[in-house]
Amino acid sequence: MKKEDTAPAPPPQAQEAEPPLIRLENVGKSFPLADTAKKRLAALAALIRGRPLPAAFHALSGIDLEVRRGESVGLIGVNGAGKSTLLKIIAGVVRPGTGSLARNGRLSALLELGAGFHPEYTGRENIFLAAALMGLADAEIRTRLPAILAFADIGAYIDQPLRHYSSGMVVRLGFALATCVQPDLLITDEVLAVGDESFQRKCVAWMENYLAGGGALLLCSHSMFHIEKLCRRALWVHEGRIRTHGEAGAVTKEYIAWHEARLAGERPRASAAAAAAGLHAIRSLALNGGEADATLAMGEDLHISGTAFAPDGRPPVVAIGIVKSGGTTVYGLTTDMDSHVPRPLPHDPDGRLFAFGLRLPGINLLPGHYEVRAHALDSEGYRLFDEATRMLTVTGSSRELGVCRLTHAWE
Amino acid sequence: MRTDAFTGAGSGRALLLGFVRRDFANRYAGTFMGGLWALAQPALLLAIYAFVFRHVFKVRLPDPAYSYVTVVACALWPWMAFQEAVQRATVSITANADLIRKIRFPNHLLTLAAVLASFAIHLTGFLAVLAVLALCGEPIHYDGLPVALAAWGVAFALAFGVALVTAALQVAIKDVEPALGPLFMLFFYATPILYPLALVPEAMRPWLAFNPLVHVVEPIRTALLGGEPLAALGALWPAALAASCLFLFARWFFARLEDYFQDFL
Repeated sequence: MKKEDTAPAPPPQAQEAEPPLIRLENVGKSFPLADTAKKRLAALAALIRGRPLPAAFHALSGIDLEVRRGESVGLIGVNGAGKSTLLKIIAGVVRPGTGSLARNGRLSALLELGAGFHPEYTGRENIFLAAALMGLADAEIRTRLPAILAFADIGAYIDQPLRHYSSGMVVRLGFALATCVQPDLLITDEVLAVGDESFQRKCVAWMENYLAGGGALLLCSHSMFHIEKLCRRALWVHEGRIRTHGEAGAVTKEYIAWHEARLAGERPRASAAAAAAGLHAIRSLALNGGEADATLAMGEDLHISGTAFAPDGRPPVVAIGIVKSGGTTVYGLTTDMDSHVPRPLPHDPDGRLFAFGLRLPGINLLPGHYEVRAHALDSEGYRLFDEATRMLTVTGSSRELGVCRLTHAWE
Repeated sequence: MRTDAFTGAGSGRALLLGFVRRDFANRYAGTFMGGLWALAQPALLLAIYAFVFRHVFKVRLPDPAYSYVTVVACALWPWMAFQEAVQRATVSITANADLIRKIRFPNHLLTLAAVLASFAIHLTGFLAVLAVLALCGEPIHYDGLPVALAAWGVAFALAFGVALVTAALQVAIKDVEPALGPLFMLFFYATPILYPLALVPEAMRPWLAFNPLVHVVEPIRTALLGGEPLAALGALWPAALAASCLFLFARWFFARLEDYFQDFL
């Protein structure tokens, strides 16, 4: 009495010593339409007799995917695209309707942190049941308990009933449990979104460490930051099918561009051309008038100027930053901090190019190499799209320490 | 019941134990008396039946060696275990929809845990009541206890078989659980609990024989009150056979639908 895989293990391939951890071939899934009692009965009768469903909703079709040891794959897509169904199929919670699925190695699926927890139990008691649900025997749990408690880091609360926990603590405990399983493939569905900042960092750090140690990851997230940070490949699922599958950065860019186009399309005044035109971008960036890397002497004026493109024709927010060559941010600001609105370029027929300029008189950067960065953000300043950089070399001789000279006087 | 890559060897037992513990917690968490309520309810029922049937209807038993209370007690606790096990286990899948939607594990363990918990509680009650009756001087044949326990085992298998089918059906058809109440009321009176089988008119007995529970409670009485454990063991086979067939079918049925619970929950 268990869920059977639909296919036997794939034949071993000559050139590859190890089969992939998971292999999906042409996997599809339909759910019975079961909104009324009558339809439920019809679906049930069909299932018992082993017939195809009379009425079904097609959640997924034609999914091909392989994940090998050491790989990290991101899964992105809009709500309802079929991501969770796909993860559930891979995790074995849902049986695929069509196609074949083969698994090797130990899988651990975190479809929801804290699934299986009981509010009346203490954290410690919950660890045992939840770990048993993840396939650990009591003895294994006992040896890993100290590590779990250390990762969860919720102190004396561990012996309190779970109903006294904050949701953040439940999440900590849930992730701590997942970390102790040491799976070959970890499947997670948006679990990073719920914790606070420090918890998220802890989880990301753990995942990076886990990946470095040869673990494989299948991460579903709406955070492109997490996808790009943790995944080498990404899979964009759209309306139940794979839309793009490739290098993570490229897929997320395409995904964001698609969202931009969709949002632009939804705006009543925006033209179709704007929707097709793509993303906010920095079109040009000049230091003291020259569109190239610049050199200036310490104490001279710096003038940063350029043009930004806004696909929706509304003035974008421009962010400018100066970064020391080692990566330390010296100074950064955005136009909307000072309530400044970039002006439209007078001769632009579309009205989608905007000029910006920033004057920094007598710049007191200590001699060295710097980078000037400009970013284009949408009009609300919510999303950051593009970055342009110029190298800035400050010359002069000074024995002062640090990055810039502060106004000072000895007394 | 196999395990697979997700539930390594041994952890199926840990999981089952966890579910049973959780079942207890769900029932009695926060109560003062805890499991004592499980003993109190059938005991109260027994008191009511004793009053109504002995003092109002003045039922006369064929064997005057035992009080009416003892005769009913032998059947009431196994019946309570069976009824409660099936009723609770029927909703074991739907009540744990969150778990089933998110985690892969052998789902039948939930059903088994509900049945186990009910039987553990009422078997304890049964043994406690037997002890009390013995203290009151009822001449109970304790050498019949192993056969009585075997009958409990058959009742358990019957309950698990029925529960696997009803729990799987309940996922798609919500009418199963409300239908159980009236059905069990019918079966309660169609099973010789408040009366010994000997009081049933000869002509009706073949009909009652189709009820497998008849072949569970009567052997318990034969073993503990009649003092004929071997005859009781022999009388147990129709129920044991029914339980085996039912269990084989139920296992197939549950496994058939298990993969699709998700789709209905």
